[in-house]
Amino acid sequence: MDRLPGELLLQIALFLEPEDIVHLQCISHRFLSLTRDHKLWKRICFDNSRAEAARRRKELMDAQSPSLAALAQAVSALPGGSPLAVHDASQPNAEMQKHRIASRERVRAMANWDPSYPDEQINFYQEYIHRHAPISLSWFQSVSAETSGEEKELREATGVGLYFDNGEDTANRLVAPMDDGSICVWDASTRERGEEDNGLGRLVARSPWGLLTSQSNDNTGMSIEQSKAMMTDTGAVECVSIDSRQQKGYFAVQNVLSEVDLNTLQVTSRERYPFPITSLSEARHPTPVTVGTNLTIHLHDSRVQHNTPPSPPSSVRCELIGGTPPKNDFHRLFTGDPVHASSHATLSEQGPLSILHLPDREWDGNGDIWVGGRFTSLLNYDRRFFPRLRGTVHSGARISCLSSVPHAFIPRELNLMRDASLSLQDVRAAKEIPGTTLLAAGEYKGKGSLELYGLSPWPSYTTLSTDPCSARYRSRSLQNRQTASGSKLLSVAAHGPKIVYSDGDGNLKWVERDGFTPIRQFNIETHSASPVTENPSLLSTIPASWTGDIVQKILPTTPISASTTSSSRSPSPSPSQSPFLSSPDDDPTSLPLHQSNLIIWTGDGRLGLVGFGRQKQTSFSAEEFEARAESGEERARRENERRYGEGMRRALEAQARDVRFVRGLGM
Amino acid sequence: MAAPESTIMLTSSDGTDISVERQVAERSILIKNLLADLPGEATTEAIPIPNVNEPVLRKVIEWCDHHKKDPPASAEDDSDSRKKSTDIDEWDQKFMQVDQEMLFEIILAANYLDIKALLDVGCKTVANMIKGKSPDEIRKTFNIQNDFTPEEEDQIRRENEWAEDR
Repeated sequence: MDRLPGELLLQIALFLEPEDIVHLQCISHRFLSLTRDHKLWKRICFDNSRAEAARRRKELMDAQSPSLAALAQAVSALPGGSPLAVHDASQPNAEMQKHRIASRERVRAMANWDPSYPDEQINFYQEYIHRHAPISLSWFQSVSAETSGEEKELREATGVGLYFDNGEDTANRLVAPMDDGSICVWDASTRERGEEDNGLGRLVARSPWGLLTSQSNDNTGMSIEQSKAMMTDTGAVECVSIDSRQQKGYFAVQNVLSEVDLNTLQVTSRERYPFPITSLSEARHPTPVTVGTNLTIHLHDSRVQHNTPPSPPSSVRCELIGGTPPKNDFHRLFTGDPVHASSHATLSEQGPLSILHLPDREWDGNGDIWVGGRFTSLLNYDRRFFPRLRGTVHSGARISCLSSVPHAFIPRELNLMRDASLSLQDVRAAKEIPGTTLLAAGEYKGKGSLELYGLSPWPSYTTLSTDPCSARYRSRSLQNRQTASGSKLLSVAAHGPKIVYSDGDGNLKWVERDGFTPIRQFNIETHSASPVTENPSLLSTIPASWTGDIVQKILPTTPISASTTSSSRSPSPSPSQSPFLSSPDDDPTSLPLHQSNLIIWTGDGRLGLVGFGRQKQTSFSAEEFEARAESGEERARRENERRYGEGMRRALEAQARDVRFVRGLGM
Repeated sequence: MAAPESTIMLTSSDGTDISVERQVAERSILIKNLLADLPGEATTEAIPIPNVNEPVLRKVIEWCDHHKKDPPASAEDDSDSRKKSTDIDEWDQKFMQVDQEMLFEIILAANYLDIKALLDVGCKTVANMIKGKSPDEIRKTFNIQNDFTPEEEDQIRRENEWAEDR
């Protein structure tokens, strides 16, 4: 077998099921590098995709019904219409001709399906796993209240952020504020390590409660309940933002933005805003964080010290660290002082819920800011001219989450996987246009709406926010309000070459990048991965209610921007570069497998990790942590309880038998 | 197209001349294109097939002879609906009951001579030998050396756990 060249082995692999190919990978180095081939797995992904299934069905139909065949012939006879050449069986070389047409057709359909872009490198083996392996859902270690007595009160997370170690593409810490005002840090790293000290999912640090809430009131008079009320008051989704470069976290509670050093878990500065904060943009030093309050938008530059509260009465606990005089005082906002008008932008309608910084101008700190929320348009600001609104894009839906894909949007009339009708050149041309796609998830008339907007430096390929005439960008955007979901969409993220979003029914749904074609879906309620614990009590206790839980926020552990920043920085990505360098030496996807997972924050304040496939690396259970944390004494006590319970059950069973027996006598 | 009864000569790598019906030889796209490019009188000379030895060439010709009446499209269907269907018709199965050395030689020859259907049959036969086997069994079947260190093997096993017990 060693004598066969690689391409023939790949031919053989095409006849195998994925499971068998996986077995082949374990055989030797040669087979491993051959059968992890991205082209092979891309082909397998494609063969299993809906687009291909639809195409096959169509082909079969064409072949079967003569009326349709006549139609197909008519279509292909159209001048310049279909690229399908008419197959004439009577001609010499008919076999070859037909074969060539079929294979060309397949290549073309595959290019139409292909979710990757010319300068993008995708590990299709991982992609296959993402699309077809069973999904596992694991919960991060739960946090119990510090004053835990007998009843274990669990704290709920009120937000979530990911911390990336410097230079690493995968998240390794999960940071979340809890409803008691503390900040907790979990280990979220899936890096290789020994079997024993796999700490994934474990709580690694926790600040004292009230850290985020104590500043405004007197610390002494503060109770956990008050704190909880404050933490759950705003109900905002994106009020956590982690700056991995500075190792800082920004947490918004009501009116106050707290900057927390993640190493010490101490608040380093606080800034008070005139209205409750409803959203934060990503934090990436030195770009200022954009802060959205109920009625205004601000830029928050961490280099400016904001430690002085605006109004003297509440400055009792003011900490002067830098001693810089206050730059912003917001009473001017109320008086409408034009001099300071440049410090913020005022919104005409309430409630920005999501702020997105586009990554393409990250290198000079300028660039687009997009704001979406409870209003029907997306607002676009340029950071250089900040308070001035650059333009709006009318969506009609109420947006709850914004995200972006650093690639050009493929317009609707060009690419739909449902009828893969584009020629190879057209596909390539469409994908080579530089640009970014804005993803927006929201609600339109009670149904979920997933919207894609193409943005590009080329005016003719972009959704021009400054253009009041909406008809012009109709084809540069897509609004899927039909098949996205029957309920409001809560969060959206780019996950590899897919889009993943969550809806109000607790579903996680993956679609292709066209925003339409479904890939798979997962419901966190029904597929709850928590193992059924062997409960030895007399009555079977109903496990904590899982019903009605929803995913409020999705965070991919390997954000797409991280892997493509290098290419998006250069003004013109080189399109000539071969997208599939699949030789093992310069493997484009240096990331190990099983790193690209999703972290979810649910409506019940739990944090989970969505992994793919059954592997120890990405699955863990809350019970394990409990067991580990339990002291030996406690275990002994529980053991006694269990024995007692078992004894009682046996006694009751015996009694029931006796009763039945006696009843039998009476008959 | 030439008359079906005309024959041509093929020379194997070990120098044996074999005479074949032209129609049979034209199952090979390589030979077919070659003949199409040659002027008519040149076909009387033997065509050298330098990569294939005599026993293998005879085996390949045997297959071509059996399949010379196949409608051209049948080979086509295979390639397009090759979707996992590793069914092989009975005659081909018997034909492929050879030792591994020969099997791989046939696959190589089919690839070289560009006989799509035969290549597919060969690949399917190998695929059937792999199907449902554990890595260890595959290694044993094909006598492949395991060149992984235990650590590497462990890592790959863990990476591939997703596919187990489905």
